[in-house]
Amino acid sequence: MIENSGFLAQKILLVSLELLAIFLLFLIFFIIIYRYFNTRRAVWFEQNYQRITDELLEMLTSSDPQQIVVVAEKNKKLFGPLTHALLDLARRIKGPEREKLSAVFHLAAEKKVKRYLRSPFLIRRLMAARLLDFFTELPDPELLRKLLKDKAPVRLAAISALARVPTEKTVSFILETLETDPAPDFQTYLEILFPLGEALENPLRQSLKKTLRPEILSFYIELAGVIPLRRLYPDLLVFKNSENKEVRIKTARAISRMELPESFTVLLEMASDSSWEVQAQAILGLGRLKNPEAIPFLVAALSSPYWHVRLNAKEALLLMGEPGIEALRQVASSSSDRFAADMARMGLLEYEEFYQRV
Amino acid sequence: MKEALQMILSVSSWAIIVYFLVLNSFYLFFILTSVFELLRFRQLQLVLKTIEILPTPLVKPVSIIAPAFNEENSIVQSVTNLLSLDYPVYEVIVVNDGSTDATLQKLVENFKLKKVNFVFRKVLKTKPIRGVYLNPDYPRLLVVDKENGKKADALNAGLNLSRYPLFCAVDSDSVLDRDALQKVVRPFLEDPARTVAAGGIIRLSNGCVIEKGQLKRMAMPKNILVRFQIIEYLRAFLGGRTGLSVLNSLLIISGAFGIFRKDVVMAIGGYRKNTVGEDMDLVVRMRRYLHEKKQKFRVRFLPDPICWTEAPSNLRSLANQRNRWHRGLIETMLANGKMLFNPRYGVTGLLAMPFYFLFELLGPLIELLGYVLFLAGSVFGLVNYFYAALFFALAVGVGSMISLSSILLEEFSMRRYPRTRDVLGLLPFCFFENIIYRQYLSWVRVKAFVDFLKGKKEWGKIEKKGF
Repeated sequence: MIENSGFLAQKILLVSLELLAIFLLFLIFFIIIYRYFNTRRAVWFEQNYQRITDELLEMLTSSDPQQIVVVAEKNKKLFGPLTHALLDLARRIKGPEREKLSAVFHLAAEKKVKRYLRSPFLIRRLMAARLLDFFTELPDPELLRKLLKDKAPVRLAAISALARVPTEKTVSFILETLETDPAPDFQTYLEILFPLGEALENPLRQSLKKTLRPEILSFYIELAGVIPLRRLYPDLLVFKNSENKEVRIKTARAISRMELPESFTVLLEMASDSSWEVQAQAILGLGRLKNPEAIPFLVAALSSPYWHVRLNAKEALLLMGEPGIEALRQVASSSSDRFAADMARMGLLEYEEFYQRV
Repeated sequence: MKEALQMILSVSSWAIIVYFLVLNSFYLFFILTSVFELLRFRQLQLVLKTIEILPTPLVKPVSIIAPAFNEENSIVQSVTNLLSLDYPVYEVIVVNDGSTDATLQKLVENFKLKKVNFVFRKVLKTKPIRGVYLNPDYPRLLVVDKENGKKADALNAGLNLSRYPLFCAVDSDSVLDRDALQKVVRPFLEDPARTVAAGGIIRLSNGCVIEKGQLKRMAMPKNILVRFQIIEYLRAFLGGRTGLSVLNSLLIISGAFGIFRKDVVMAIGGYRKNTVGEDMDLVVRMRRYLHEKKQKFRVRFLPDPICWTEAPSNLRSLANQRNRWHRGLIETMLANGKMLFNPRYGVTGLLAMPFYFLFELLGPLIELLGYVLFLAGSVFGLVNYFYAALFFALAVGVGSMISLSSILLEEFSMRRYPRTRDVLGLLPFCFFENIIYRQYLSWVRVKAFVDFLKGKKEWGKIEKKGF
């Protein structure tokens, strides 16, 4: 900008400007060409997707089993539109018709998708993970573990695909994968297994009989309580005296969540466990059962040396309703134990606040 | 005297040239990063189907909070739009922030709302709430009427009433794509431990046809000013924010459409009330808090979930909007100045904050300085006009290239304009934007410094036609 700026600088600027102008023209041209080819590709995809969907629908309504082979053979080279059409239909169709879709997948795409599961490209792994629930035979546990530790989109696709298939075979496979996983991410497994609900019962019962690592066993027990799978209650009882404290804590918590009247004596027993964590869980369960026979025990627990036990005893008494509130009033007004009285007063305050809000 | 001035001009000119080079290098870097990210995103979009995840319990419920102030022209359309989103569990909380027009009446009449006694925990301090309105026929809708306290206060009131672990802040004069919520929530499903905020792209609804709260047809507006803004938005969102998001350096989730983890927002005390840039301020404070807690986190920008909003179509409204945005930026930078160049705040302190400070905040002042130096040099006969013209042409060329690249980014990502002639119609604006429009906005932003120093806290009126 200054008068004595050199000739060289001007020359550089001029050349830069020329190059820039050429590049701008190239950009405009590229935008137009790119748009043209992209539009054509989208039209091609849409047309094939629509045609394959129609053929699949026709196949679903046909009684001729040969139709499955015909549709699969005809479209196996159109991998993208075919898998999209299969997935979109499978979302809406259940029962034997869905099996027909699986058969088409098996004939036309399964081999390729199995290769894709091991692909270094994220998109391919993702595509394959979405199709996991179509597999006639699930891939080996090692591969599934890799998928569940893959990048976020792949992991999520695998989880949602597996969570869609509540068959015993799938569940057993997932449990086997977990049991052989050296460093499992329990949150991921919880996300897969929780939606399967009751379908978990038998496979989980079988697994609880195995000799498992304590963290896996604890996870299973927790899962049985979270869903809750009440028919597994007898299977959980064997763990109430486990040597592993974590297993006992999870057992107490699971049994508490099941809210079964027959668990009263078991919870009462566990509420006197040597570990305060187990005590705290069992005490909460006693509250959920609303059995007034537990009140003297819960009042005594308000004087526990452990804050969490006192807190859960207060919670349990609140859950009991009127008899529990009355017990809290008595402790608050007459207990010689300052800590018990404080906890009882806190419970009463919460009760009053809740009552006012209601 | 003349020699001294020549010296000053020479040094300043070189400083401005270096600044220009560094700034444009950053922009080019962001665009290159965005190209890769958007191509990857486009490919992912072909395969990802959020709808597959929706029936599973992985999906988190969302509270949509829409503050409204004098929105009688568009409020019913907007709320209808929010109630018709494809998402399994969500609630819509419309906060009428003491409107002086018929916003509340329109809501009450159209949705047949009744005033109820509603109990909630007042965790964040807000202006008094005058009433809560419900209708069991619209179980997702909750309308809160409160005294005027500005947008941040209204959002805080909405937060107090919200029930779900994620909340989505939406402008009540905007329209969301039907699947926008399920798309924007995706990062929270994929990486629930680290994702704390995510935002979608804002696009301009001017010229588009919106019926029953849904976008029916997209078209290019005739208004020249809006076309300039379309280029700007494409550049800012597809170039800047995508690039910054890849580097985990995003400081803004647009106030018109952003989703946040409620626990983190509550932990920092909600929105800061005495600012006009509450959206940026929130994200910066969230980042500050999480860095101080040494928690790993991600703030994501997604180019696909779309929020449609009406752009100002006259100069005065545009100036008011940009003035407010710049004052918001100044306030946020000053309030969080501690983070600037501070390694304790990781990538936020060493990259994001310095970038916003040097190029976004000071940019208009440096540009103005360039023009002042040019004038001073002209007066004293120190300017080589040929050289100056070349430099200006180069600056316009680089600016045009960046704008053109943003159209290319649009083609790489969503290709929302169905007609090729719409895209071709935008091309000349990439060039002209750098000649008058850019200088005008720089002047508006310089004026924002003056308004800030004067203590102006007004939002400034923006005329909108409504849908």
